[in-house]
Amino acid sequence: MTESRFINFALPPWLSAGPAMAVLLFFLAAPLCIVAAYSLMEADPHGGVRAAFSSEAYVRFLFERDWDGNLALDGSYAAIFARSFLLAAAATALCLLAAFPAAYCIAGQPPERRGLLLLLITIPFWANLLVRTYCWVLILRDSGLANTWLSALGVIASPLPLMYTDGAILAGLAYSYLPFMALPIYAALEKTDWRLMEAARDLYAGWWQTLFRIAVPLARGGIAAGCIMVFIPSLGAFIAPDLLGGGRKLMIGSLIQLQFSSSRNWPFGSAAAFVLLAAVLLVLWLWLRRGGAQKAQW
Amino acid sequence: MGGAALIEIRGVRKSFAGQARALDGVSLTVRENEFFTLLGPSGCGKTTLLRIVAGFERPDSGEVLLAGKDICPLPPNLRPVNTVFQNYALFPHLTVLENVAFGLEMRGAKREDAKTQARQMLETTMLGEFGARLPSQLSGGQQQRVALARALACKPRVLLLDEPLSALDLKLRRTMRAELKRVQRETQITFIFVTHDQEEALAMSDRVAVMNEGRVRQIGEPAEIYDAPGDRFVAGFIGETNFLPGEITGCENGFLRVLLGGGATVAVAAGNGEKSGAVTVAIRPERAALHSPADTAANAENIVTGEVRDIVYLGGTTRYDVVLPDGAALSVSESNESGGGNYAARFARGEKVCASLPRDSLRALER
Amino acid sequence: MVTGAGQAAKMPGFAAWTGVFYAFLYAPIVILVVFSFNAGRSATVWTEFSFAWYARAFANKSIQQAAANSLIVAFSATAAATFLALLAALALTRGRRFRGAGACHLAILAPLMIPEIVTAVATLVFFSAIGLRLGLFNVFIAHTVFCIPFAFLPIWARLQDMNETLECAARDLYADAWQTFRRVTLPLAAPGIAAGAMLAFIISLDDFVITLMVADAGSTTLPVYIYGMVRMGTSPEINAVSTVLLAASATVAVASHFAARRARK
Repeated sequence: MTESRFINFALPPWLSAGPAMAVLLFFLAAPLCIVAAYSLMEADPHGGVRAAFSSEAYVRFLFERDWDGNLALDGSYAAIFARSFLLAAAATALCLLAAFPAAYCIAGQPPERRGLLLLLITIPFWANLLVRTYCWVLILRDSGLANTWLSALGVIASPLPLMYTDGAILAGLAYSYLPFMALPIYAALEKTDWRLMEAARDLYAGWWQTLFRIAVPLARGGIAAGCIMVFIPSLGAFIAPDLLGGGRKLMIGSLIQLQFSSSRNWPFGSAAAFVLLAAVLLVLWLWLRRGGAQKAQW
Repeated sequence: MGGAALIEIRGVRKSFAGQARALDGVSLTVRENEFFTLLGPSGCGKTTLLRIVAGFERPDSGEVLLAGKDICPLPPNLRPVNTVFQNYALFPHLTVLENVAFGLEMRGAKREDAKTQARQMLETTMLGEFGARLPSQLSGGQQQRVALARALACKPRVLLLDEPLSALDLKLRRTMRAELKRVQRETQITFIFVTHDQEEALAMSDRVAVMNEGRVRQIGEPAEIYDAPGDRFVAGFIGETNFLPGEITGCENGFLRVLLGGGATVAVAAGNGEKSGAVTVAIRPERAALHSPADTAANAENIVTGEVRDIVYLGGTTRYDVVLPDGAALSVSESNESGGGNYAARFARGEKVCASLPRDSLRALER
Repeated sequence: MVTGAGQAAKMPGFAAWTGVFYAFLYAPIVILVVFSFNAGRSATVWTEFSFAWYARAFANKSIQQAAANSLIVAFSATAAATFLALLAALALTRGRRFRGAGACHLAILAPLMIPEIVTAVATLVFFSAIGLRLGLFNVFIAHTVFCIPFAFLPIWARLQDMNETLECAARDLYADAWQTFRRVTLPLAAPGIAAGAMLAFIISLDDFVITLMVADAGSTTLPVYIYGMVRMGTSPEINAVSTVLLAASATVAVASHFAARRARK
C-alpha cells in the first residue's frame, strides 16, 4: 500500500550485507580474476604458472604445436567441447521426457499426496551426488548387476562393455539432474487450472492434442527453467564423466580437473574453465533476458 | 464536544519516491475525547496520515503536535499512541494473553504484573477464555477484539484505527461498530479512525475529515458533511447526489438564482460556495419530489420537468431515474409507504413528470 | 483445483510412467543400500544379511578421520554461512533501501550460477597464489562461500513473506528496535533460518568437487575419501559408508522440508 517501509533494522548496509559481500568478493570474485589472469600466462611444467604473457592456452583449443613450433589444426579439444554440449543436451532431453509426465501426474494429485510425492523427489535432489553416481558403477560395471542379470537371463554370453561409454555418462548425467527438471515443471503445473484441460477436451481435443496444445504451453516457463537447471550442471559435470567415463571419455569438467592434477597445465585449465564459465553465463543470460526467471513462477 | 485540542496536524506534506504527493499540506485538529474519522477513497492519503501520527513515517514537512508538543522526531515506541492495524497484526507466535501483555511489558512492567493486567483486560472484553490460544485459532471478530484489547491495555492518549472493520463480514461489522463506539465513550480515549466506508464514518464519528488526493476537502460533523457538502467531491463521495449544471444569474434575499441547462431557473440557498458564473447544483435523491404535471400549480417554485426513464424498486424505497430536457439525469428516491403486497409505482416509464427541488436542499458547487 | 485434476485432465499412461520415474530415481539407491548389508564381497550376488561392512568401515581410522573432518567443516561452514546470509537477508528485506541492493542480491546467488568445477579450480588457484595452506581451514572457507546462497534463500523467502506490520505493531507497543528484533523478527524468521542452516549443512556435507581440489592430504572429507576408494575399485565397505552418508543427507533434507513447511504456515 505505502511505498516506503518502516525501518526497524537500522544496521547500515555495509555492516549487514557487507560481510557476506566481502567474503564473496575475496573468496569468489578475486579467485575468478586470478583464473582469468592465469589463462593468459605461460605454463610451468612443475605446476603453476610463469609470470609472462602468453595466449598459448587459448590457441591450444584449436591447434597443436609440433616439435618445430608450427601450428597445426587439432580437433581433439574442440571435440571434447562438442561432446560435452551434445551429452548435456541429450541428458536434458532425456530428463524432460522422463520428468514431464511424472510432474504432470503429481501436480494433478490431491494436495496431501502431492506433498509426499514431492518430498520423494527432493530427497535424491539433496542426496550425495558422488554416491548416487557410484550406484551406477555398481550397476554398469562388467561384473555389475546389469551384466549379471542379462547373462543369467541368457540374453548375453559375455559381459557387455557398459562402463566407460557415452551411454554410461548420459545415464549418470540424466540420473544426477532428474529432480532439477521435475521440480520446476511441477511448480509450473501446480498452479494450473485443471478446468483448462477439461475445456480442451470439451472442445473436441484428444488427449494428445490437449497435452501439446494446452498442458505443455502452460508449463513452458517451468520446462525452460528445468532445461536450464539440467543443462548447465551437465555441461560442467565432473563426477559422471570421471566415474562412468573413466578418464577415457572426457567432458569439459574432467578436462579442467585434469589440467590441475596430473597434466599440470594451469593456464590451459584456467582457459578451459573460463570458456565453460562464459558458455554457462551466456545460456543464463539468454534465458534471463527472455524473462525466464519470471515465467518459471518461483 | 468542543474539548481542548489534543492533536494538531499542521501543514503536513509527504511524498514517496516516484509518486504523486501522498499528503499535500494537511492541517487539522483532533479534540480531547473525540471520535474523529478520516474518510476518503483508497490512495487519498488517510493511511499515510495515520502512519505519520503513529510514527511509522516521517512527514517531509509540517508538524504533528500531541498536547502541544511536536512528536515527529519520536520513534513509535516513545509515543503515547497505539494502533489497531488493518489486519490486526497480532503476533502469530505469541498467545492472546502474551499479545495483550506485550505493550505493558515493553513499557517496563514485570512479566507477571503485565500478565495479570492483560488477564483483567481480557476479562472485561469477554475474551477471558481465549488467553492461552494462538491468534490463528480465533475467528476474525475475536482477533479484532484482541487487537483492540492489546492497543487499549496501555491506556494510550490516542487510539489509531486503520480500517479495523474492513476484514469482517457485514453483520459483524455492524455489531463491532456499536461496540467500538461504546468503548470510546467508556474509556474516554481519543479515537482517530480511518475508513473508506462513508456509512461507517457517518454512524460512528463525532467529526469527519473527508480527504482526497492528499488534501482535506471538508471537516465537520456527519450531518454537516452530508447536508452541506463543501465541494463536488464531498457531495459525490458521501451518499448519492444529483449534479445539474447551471449558471448563476443573480442573488436575492440570501438565495442565488441559477439558470439550469434545461431552461428552468431555481433558487438555491447561498452557502459559502460559488457566488457567480458556472456552477453545478447538487441535490440528494431523497430531497427531491415528483409530481404529475397536473398538480404543479400548488408549488410553482423550483420546478423542473422531465421524463421517467427507469423505475428501480429497492424494497424500502423506489428510485425514479428522470431525464431533464437538456439530457441531465435526475434520480429521485421515494420511500414506499404502502405495504401489504399492493405496491404500484406512482409513475410509468416514459411518463412526463415535474420534480420539485426544495431550495434549502440545493447547493451550488464549483463545477 | 483443490482436489487435483479431474478425470478429463488425466493423460493415459502418465500414472504408469510416474511409477517408472520413481523406480528409476530410487532403484540405484536401493541397490546400494541393500548390498551394503550383504555379507559377501560381491555387490551383485546376495549371500546373507550382515552388518560386517559397517563394523569394518566404522573401525577404519581413515574413515573416522574423514568423517570427523566432514562434520567439523559442515558445522563451522553452516554457522558462518547462515550468519552471513541472515545479516544480508535482513539488509535486503528489512533495512533501508540502498544503492546496489540488486547487485548484492545477485552476488549472493552467484555461487549457484558458476559451475562447481570452475569455483573449485579458482579456489585452488587462489589459495596457492596467496600461499594460504591451513589445511581444514581452507576447506572451511571454500565451503562457507558456496553455502551462503543455500542458507540465504529460505531466510530471504521467509523474511519476504513476513508482514512488516508485525514489527510496526511491536514498535507501536513500546518495544525498542532491539526488543522488536529479538521478540518479533527473530522468532518469526526462525523456521526460515533453520531451513537455511540445514540446507547449508547438507550442501557442505555432500560437497565433493570443490573439496577434492582444495583439500590437502590431511583434510580429506568423507566424500573425497569415498572417491579415493572408488578409484581403487569397488568394495562393500564403500557401500556401507555411502549408505551412512545418504542417510545423513536424507534425514536433514526431510527435516528441512518440514521446517520450511512450518515456515510457510
